[in-house]
Amino acid sequence: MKTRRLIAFTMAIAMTALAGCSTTAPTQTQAPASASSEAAPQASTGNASAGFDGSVTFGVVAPITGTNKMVGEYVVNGAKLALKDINAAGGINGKELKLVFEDEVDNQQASVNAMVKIMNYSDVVSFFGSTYSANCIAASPNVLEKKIPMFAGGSSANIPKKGNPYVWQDRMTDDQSGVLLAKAATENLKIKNPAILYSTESFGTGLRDQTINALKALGIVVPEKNQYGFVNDEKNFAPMISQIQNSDVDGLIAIGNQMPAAVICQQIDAAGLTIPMIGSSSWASAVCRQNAGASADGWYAVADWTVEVSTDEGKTFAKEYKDTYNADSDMPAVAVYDSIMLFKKACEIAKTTADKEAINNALKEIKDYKGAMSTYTYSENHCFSTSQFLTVNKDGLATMVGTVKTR
Amino acid sequence: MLQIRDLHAYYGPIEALKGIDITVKEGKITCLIGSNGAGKTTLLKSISGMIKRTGSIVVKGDGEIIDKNSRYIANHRIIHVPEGRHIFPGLSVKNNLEVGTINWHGFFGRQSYANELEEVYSLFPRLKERENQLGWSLSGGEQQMLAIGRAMMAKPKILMLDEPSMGLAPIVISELFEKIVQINQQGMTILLVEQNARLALQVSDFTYIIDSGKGILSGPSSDLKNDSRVIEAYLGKAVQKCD
Amino acid sequence: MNINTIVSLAVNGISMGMIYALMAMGLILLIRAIGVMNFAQGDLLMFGAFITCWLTVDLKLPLWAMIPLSIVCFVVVGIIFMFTAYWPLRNASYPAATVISTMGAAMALKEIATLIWGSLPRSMPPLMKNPATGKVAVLKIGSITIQWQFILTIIVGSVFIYLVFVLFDKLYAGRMMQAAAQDKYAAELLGIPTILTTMATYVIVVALASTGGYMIAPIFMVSNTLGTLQLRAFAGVVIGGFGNIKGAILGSLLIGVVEAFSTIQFSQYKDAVVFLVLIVFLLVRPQGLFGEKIADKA
Repeated sequence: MKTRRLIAFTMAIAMTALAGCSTTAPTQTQAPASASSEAAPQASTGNASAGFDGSVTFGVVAPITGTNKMVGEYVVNGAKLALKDINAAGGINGKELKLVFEDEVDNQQASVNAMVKIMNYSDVVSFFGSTYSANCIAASPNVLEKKIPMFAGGSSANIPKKGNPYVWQDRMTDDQSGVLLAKAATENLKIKNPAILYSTESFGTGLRDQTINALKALGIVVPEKNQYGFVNDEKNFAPMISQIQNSDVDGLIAIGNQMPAAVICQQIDAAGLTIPMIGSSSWASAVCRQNAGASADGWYAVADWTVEVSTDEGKTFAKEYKDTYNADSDMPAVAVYDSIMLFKKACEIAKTTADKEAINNALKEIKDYKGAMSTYTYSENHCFSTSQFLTVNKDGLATMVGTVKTR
Repeated sequence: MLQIRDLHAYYGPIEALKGIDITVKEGKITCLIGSNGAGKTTLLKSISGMIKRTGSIVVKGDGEIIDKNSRYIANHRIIHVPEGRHIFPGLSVKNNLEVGTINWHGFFGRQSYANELEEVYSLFPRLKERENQLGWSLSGGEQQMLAIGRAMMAKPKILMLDEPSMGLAPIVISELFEKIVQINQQGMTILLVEQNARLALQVSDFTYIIDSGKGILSGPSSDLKNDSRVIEAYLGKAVQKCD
Repeated sequence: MNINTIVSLAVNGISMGMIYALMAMGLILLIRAIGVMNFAQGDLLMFGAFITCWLTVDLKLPLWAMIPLSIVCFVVVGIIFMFTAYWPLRNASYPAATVISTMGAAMALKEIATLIWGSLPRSMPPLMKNPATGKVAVLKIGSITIQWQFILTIIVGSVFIYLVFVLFDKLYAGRMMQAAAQDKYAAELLGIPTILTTMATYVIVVALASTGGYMIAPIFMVSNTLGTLQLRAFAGVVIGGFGNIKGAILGSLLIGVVEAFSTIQFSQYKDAVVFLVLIVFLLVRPQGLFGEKIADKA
């Protein structure tokens, strides 16, 4: 019958199409490229506020609308906090700092468009790029063409691999995180035969590879059968957890994004698994802790940031964020804050706020700069961060255990 | 029983019936014949409320039904057995018959329809043999009997049959028409639409002939059977006069 | 590979299979009744999960209040779904219009859920808690541990499957609905109110999918990506043989079990394994496990 054939045909097409795109392919919300935030920058001379001798403009790309708007809120708030702090202390080289925001929504095309738009503003001297590594990498050629320094918000080790002299990272790259993860698992959690549960996204497999290599260097070999991959929107971890439970592993290292982290915490708790567990930074994140509730307790994590930070600079930022916004800060906020601070430092070193080339070169002079998230020192691969925090979830908070340093 | 005046029926913008007058007498078999596309099925659909129509259709005991919907008409016991039979292929014979009772049984009614079922089985013993077989597995003749049986379960006061002989072998057709006559002898008013003019003229009491949406001829079947115009147009020149 | 793992995987597989089966039954019902392949099935599950989460967590209703209220919600959603995604297009000259509108409905459901409840995922407390420890309840048989939630899912799923069969095989009203689905024209001539039967079908389909959502919400967390589970249900329908409810159920259970056991070797390729099974079936036995029960009309 015609209907049957039509149905079969439609199904065949749909299954090929739908199976191809995982749900990390975001919803097709058609958000306008420019968001509801700051207007396009004015000329750097003439419209500065009183007390300032001109202005300098820094661009910020954030997921203001779309499925990641929670993250976008942190980015925008963190940037505005930097704006406030810098201008309260006299601006950059006496010039008022101005910010311009663009919405990267939740898909790569919109994100790259946002970054290109920012780069095209005549006044923007430098900017904070996407919080998502894939988008940073995609926009890298544009950054090279425009010769404008970008602070990437992503953490993938593939970002610096492009060798783009204008791309910088203030977050710890995942390949270093792997070393730290292995270090913490063996030294702090005393794990000798771990299972590894990892997301098959590129950041996940990258981090897994690094962790496995680092473990091998420490004398621990993780056999294939103890490695469990999962797709980013996986929800049914019970089969993997059963196998972990019934094998002879004595610890779990988990790598993934915030939502799977929450689901994993919950399902592991439900299964009654009690071996020592450490995760990538998502396990310390607010999204994971809030959604997993008590089931996230006991998990260690190597994290970019925790509100319970104990370094002085970290505490200052955390408190200020809390007082200003009446909410806890999270990694995306402090990443952009520290990026803008690094930008300020470079301007001071180069003694200019307009010469992008000079500012870019000045970033090479950064050494032992104490930011909120880490201590920053230039390295050849353009990654500034030298340490991460080791945290453990207790009573719903990610309490800090110590810092884990790479160099 | 049923009085139709100046009936016009429309398929979208196309006028398929252009002013038809028909009287269906109670307790008699009235038949409607005509060539393909004359409007026979359209007429039945007009009565059962399935297409757009204007004019007047008055039913004894119910009044004007020209503006009523198909559910009302079925509930008032005017049952149309469609051409092509349209039995429910995935339901058993018994279930098919059962479904016919909806217009008086109601979705959640508690009445038993055992009596009605018995009557249909005695009328069509073959259906009882195949009681639990699914509709699609029946032969053409059995499906037609099932369709009529199903309509009988609805306790109709007017039974409308659309081309029951279609696609059936001659021996099956004569068996079928015996049953139709039997049903009529039990008092049922029947409106029969047929392509097979000879058969229709044989069993019916009154005949209407329509062509291209208009009524052409009408009268007692016994008269029309011997009318030369009818013989030539619908019974074939070579055929002798029928008895 | 010990017995505990095998039993856990089997239980997990069958309980997931039940969820897929609930969706698959809904798919078949809609195919048979309306000829529509419903691409919004997974999002109906998602929406149902959100509704039950809202009733349980936000409004904090006890079970005896939550169940009737959620049924009311399902009825409303079913009716709205039918009259927006199907009704206006039922006589469209372009027969795939109704199918495409379900795709649009899927997107709409996701956005509406985000509008009402926000884009953040939410967690729901487990369906069965061990009162002593406050944690998830488990059943222990010898050395084997099984979470009660999975067993509950299997039981509830079976009950619903049974109810659907009872409705359609035994109840008079079910027979009417089947008739209206099999031949709308004849049904209307007999006086069956086909609008009502179609509405009832939609409501049942929504209720089935939403119950599936309710069952997995505590395990999976409620987020607007739950809709992707429908792909497994589609696979179950095809494997079981198009148009056959029993087949769809068995196919879905099979898919659930295959999915669970595939994690032994290929945990990140779970989806690929499922579709491999599907492709193998299409190549080797395209009519599915049970083939076409209803041939074209004579």
